[in-house]
Amino acid sequence: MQNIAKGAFAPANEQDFVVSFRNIEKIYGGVKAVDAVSLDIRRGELVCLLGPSGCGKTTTLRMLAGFIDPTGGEILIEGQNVTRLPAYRRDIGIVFQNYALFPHMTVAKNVEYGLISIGMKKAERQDRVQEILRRVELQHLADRYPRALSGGQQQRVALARALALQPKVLLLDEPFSNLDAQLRVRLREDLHGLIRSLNMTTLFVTHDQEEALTLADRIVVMNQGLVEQIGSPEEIYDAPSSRFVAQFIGSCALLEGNIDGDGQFTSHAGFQLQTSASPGTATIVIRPEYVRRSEELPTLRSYRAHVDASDYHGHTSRLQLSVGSDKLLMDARFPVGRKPNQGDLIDVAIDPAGVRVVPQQAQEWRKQNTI
Amino acid sequence: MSVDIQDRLLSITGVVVRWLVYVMLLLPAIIVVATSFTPGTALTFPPPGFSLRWYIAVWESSLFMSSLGLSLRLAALATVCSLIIGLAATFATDRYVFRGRDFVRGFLLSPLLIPTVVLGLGLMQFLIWIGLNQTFIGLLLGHLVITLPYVVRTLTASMVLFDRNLEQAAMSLRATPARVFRTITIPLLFPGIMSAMVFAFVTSFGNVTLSVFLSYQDRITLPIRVLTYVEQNYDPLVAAVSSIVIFVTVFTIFLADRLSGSRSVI
Ligand SMILES: Nc1ncnc2c1ncn2[C@@H]1O[C@H](COP(=O)(O)OP(=O)(O)O)[C@@H](O)[C@H]1O
Ligand SMILES: [Mg+2]
Repeated sequence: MQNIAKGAFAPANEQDFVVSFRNIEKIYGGVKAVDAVSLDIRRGELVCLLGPSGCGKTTTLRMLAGFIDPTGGEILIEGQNVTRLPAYRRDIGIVFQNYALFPHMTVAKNVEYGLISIGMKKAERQDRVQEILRRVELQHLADRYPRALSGGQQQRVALARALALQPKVLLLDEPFSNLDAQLRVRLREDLHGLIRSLNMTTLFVTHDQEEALTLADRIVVMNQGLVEQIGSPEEIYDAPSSRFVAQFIGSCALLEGNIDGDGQFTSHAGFQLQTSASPGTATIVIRPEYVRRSEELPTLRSYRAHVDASDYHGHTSRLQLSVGSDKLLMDARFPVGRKPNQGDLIDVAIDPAGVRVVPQQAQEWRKQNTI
Repeated sequence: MSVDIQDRLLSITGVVVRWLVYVMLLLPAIIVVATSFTPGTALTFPPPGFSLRWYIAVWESSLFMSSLGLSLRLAALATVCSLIIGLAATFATDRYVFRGRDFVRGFLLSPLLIPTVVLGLGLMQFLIWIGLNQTFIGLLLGHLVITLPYVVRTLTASMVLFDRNLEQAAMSLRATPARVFRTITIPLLFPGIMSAMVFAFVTSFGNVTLSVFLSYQDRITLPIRVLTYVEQNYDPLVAAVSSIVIFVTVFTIFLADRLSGSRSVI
């Protein structure tokens, strides 16, 4: 609805969208793998599809690439309806999860492949290949075959190959999932820098919330084919619009209960917390870094908590707490030798900045729409 | 300790069995090839000397030479035809979901399950019925029936391993379907195609059971010619002919292996 309204009243705005999904849907054997996804991607924006495995991220990406026909809806690239356009006539570059480098071609030939497609002259082609390989720091490997490259190098070749054609939009399907943890972080930063320096419009798929939070300008959280929430990383983390989003992004404690006329929340087990929300049944989300020792927040209500588990993580310690029969998580730094142990009792306070109320109606509405 | 001994015993048995199999497989061929070089007139192993007289005799025998020519032509044509049909059929059954797909798959492989004698008899009657018996086309059709399943099976196996992402990557790089097929699909399926061709060629070239029913007058394939010759004569000429069959087969496999590069064909 929003899209149609925008299109009708502010057509100039459309120019800024490189990609628009309009009510895109894909049904596999009666099951909606992707359900009414609408999304606009601005020029130079890095948007991330985030969600658990099987939620429809890859399917959405592949529909944009033109490998899968949507069962419903429209896809626009720079205002042009490409829903029925074959993949080779859409202006997109894609990096696959397994990179899909052509095993029978050298690195240089892989990168050159697309340039031949568009009929570029040989001399110009070779210049472009050299330039892009320099860009990803692979010029010394130009004559290697893909099987003789490390995972990280393969990823960069795949990226170079996709970028050589200067596509309108770059698609990345879990490009880091085949790399070990250390390399992953480094390549993530490299990729981020490269995409930024090229001002490349990018749609990125991942199930790793940390990856999404660090890379994306905007995150689209998906669950069972549906979009749960679209927002900046800060919005997604600090203001989750549903239980699912709160639980999927970062760790948190979720408490269910009711809010009375004064904004006082009471969980089913009796835990009480002052909020500024309107009355009704509600779920509250408490992030672990906002649970503090009560001496740090002396003006706030203090709770006596039992330490169920205590794990040291270097920069902080993660405590699992029970207040009555409600569970909380706490991330905090303790002075050397003062870290509480399992079985201890500590006093904690809850910083109201870290408390979110997920309205119950939103969840009911979603449930009805899912079924 | 006892596990150790069992392990050793097992591995020794394994080696022995393996060599037995090699010897059993290779020995007949070695004996035939060796005896074909005999300068004498009897089939003896080991041969008393070395000469090419029986090869010259084959060369001068118009019967054997015409059969060799026929067999080579037949095998080559059967290979090409079954490859084209097989590629089309395998693409269809591998890439598309349609009603009766499993039936088509099974049907294409079914000649492997039917005894070739039964197939030959049936084919002969069928060809008479459609008026193609005693023709080269009839012979070729018969051979297609037995070469096609090998082609389909080999190609199916290599297509299952084929990464479809490669084609999609090429498509996202603006390559038209025709270019994708030419520069990605075919080059990557090449080893599979080569081994399918080897199977088809060797199957057709060495076939007896079917050709017996379909050969006629001056159109007699080499294996059948050897068979009929041996019924009356027993001299090193057949050893020379048989050796030629072996050479052709080995050469085919060697060539295919070379052409498809480092990846093994068989
Ligand atoms: N070709 C297909 N046929 C049937 N179901 C499919 C097919 N591809 C994907 N699905 C289903 O669609 C859902 C979404 O898949 P996918 O987009 O790959 O998820 P993700 O990338 O988020 O892990 C999954 O439940 C998957 O089983
Ligand atoms: Mg996926």
